[in-house]
Amino acid sequence: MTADSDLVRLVQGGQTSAYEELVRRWSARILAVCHARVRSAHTAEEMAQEAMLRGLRAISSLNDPAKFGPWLCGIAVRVCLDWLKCGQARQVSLEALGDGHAESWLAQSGEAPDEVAAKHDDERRLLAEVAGLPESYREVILMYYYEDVTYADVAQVLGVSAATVNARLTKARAMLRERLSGLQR
Amino acid sequence: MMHCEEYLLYLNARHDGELAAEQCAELEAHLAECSHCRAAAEGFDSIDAELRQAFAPRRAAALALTDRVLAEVRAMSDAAPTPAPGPRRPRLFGELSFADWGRTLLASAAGFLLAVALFRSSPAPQASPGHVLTAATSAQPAGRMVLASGPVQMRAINQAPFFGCVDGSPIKPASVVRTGDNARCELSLAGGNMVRLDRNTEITLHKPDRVEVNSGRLWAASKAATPIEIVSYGCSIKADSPSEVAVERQPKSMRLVVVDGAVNLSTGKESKQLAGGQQVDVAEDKVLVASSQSDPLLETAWINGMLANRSAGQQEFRQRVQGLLAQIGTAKLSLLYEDELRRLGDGGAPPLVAYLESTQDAPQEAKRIVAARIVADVSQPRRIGDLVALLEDQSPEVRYHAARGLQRLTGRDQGLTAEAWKGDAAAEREAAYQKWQEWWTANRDKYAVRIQRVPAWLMS
Repeated sequence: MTADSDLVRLVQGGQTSAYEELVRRWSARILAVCHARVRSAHTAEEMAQEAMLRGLRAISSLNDPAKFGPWLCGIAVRVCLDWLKCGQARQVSLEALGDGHAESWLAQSGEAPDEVAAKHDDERRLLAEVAGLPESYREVILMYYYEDVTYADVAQVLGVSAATVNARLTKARAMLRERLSGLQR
Repeated sequence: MMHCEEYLLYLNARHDGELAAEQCAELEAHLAECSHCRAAAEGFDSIDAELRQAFAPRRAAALALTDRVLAEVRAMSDAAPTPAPGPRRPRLFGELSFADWGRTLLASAAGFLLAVALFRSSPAPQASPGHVLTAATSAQPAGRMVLASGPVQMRAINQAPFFGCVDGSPIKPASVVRTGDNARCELSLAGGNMVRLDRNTEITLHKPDRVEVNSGRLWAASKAATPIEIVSYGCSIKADSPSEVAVERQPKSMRLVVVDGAVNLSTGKESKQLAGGQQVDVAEDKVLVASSQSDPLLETAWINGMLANRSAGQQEFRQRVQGLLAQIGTAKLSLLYEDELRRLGDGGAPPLVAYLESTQDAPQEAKRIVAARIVADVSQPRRIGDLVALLEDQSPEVRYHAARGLQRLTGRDQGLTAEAWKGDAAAEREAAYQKWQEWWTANRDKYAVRIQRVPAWLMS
């Protein structure tokens, strides 16, 4: 497989089309990063799209092509922060969110409200619990379940070790199990 | 001496296939003695399964997002022929810094390596790095190569030699593009139309809306407001938008299949309007309506393999698989359709499994049995979970094939032969189903196949 760094160099050399393969490789993880921050599935998709296009426009400023993933992830975080900053009115605290929160957090773009409402209760409850996890745990869960990735893939984006990813996933899954069993009691 | 909390980390990593063999053995030894950790192991399995199910729509959303971003990137590339380089891109010799030279050389080297990798086994003319970069950076492209399943070459219409063309490469107007023995490819044309080339096919892309088929087989979809014109064997085929056609160029004839929509065929001496489903042969300026019309789905079945292994275009692939399935038991030559489905191999299993899951209560037993039989015959180990789920199907025949597939992949029957899954002994089936579930929960790590993203140009 062509390395990210080689593709980045091709883009920097003027072959914009090489960026398409980078998009295919990174879009799910970038979407996960955004989703962990903006807490709305639809908005996260907009933020991720914006981040990836900003990445293309700014790629000439990337000095270390091998770090394309973390660099793009940084752009995604900044895009989300900008959005949150500009849209204070839209920002809702988790505590203030009612039953509709899970739907907003998870709704697929284009998904009709009726279809969302028809989702299985257990599934909705689980996703609402994911939304309520502390950010570092929520982020690792989203990144791991948005696509088939290894701990090393997640670690590369987050700038942590694979062992840390394991620790966060272990804790996050344990918290989810505990919270769900608490709800069932 | 480690504590249970540390073994939880081991358990989690083992569940995800991330634990080293040595630590696995250590964990097994601990689990043999610790009921608390054994219970925790089950907990990991269940929460993981629930999360995977809950995130399925989000994974689909991520794929859709990828398609949207790719469309934007292509639009940006088309709008600006020399886009991304920015201030670092050297424009004048005198302006080059040492770093600029390094970057340029690296880019050239990367292009060269890609080209060499593509053509190391090809007898065709060797690629040169200069060609790759020159082609990629000049003039407004008429199209772009979206994916290729092997080495594809292109050259300007009146120039030699051919050079390597990788995924995403822009294709200038008046370019010749050809595939070899082991490659098919898809080109996205400026304006929104799309063409696909079969193996051993050569086309000339005169303009985004004019394609000439020199040899081989071409599939074209006219989706945009600008109708595409296909030229071959002295004929002109003007596709009205939207339409889908397939053209096969032979040395002394040409076959046109109108898959969908309507086209006008002109030989210079006569002109014919053809509708979806019609097919004609043209030889010596005569248009002959084929005496036996074959199904356009079969005529264009060669594109299925391209669709089976890519993330984008899954809806088109599902529709084609369902179209093939719909003919089984209906068409005279059902076996041809079944053969096409089998030819897709493991890549064709997901739409078939989805069909089986969505038609549990539908009265389409014959088609469901065929789908189950194919899934059982062609699936790879990553489909074991799907096959276990099919053991609960209401149809005895579907259950039988699911059990047969599991036996083929695992060498096990969990105490109930495939034939017995057709029987009425519900209690026995339930017990065996539980065993399969437990076995799969305990062993799926061993069978886990992480689906690696394979660059499209390496796809077989």
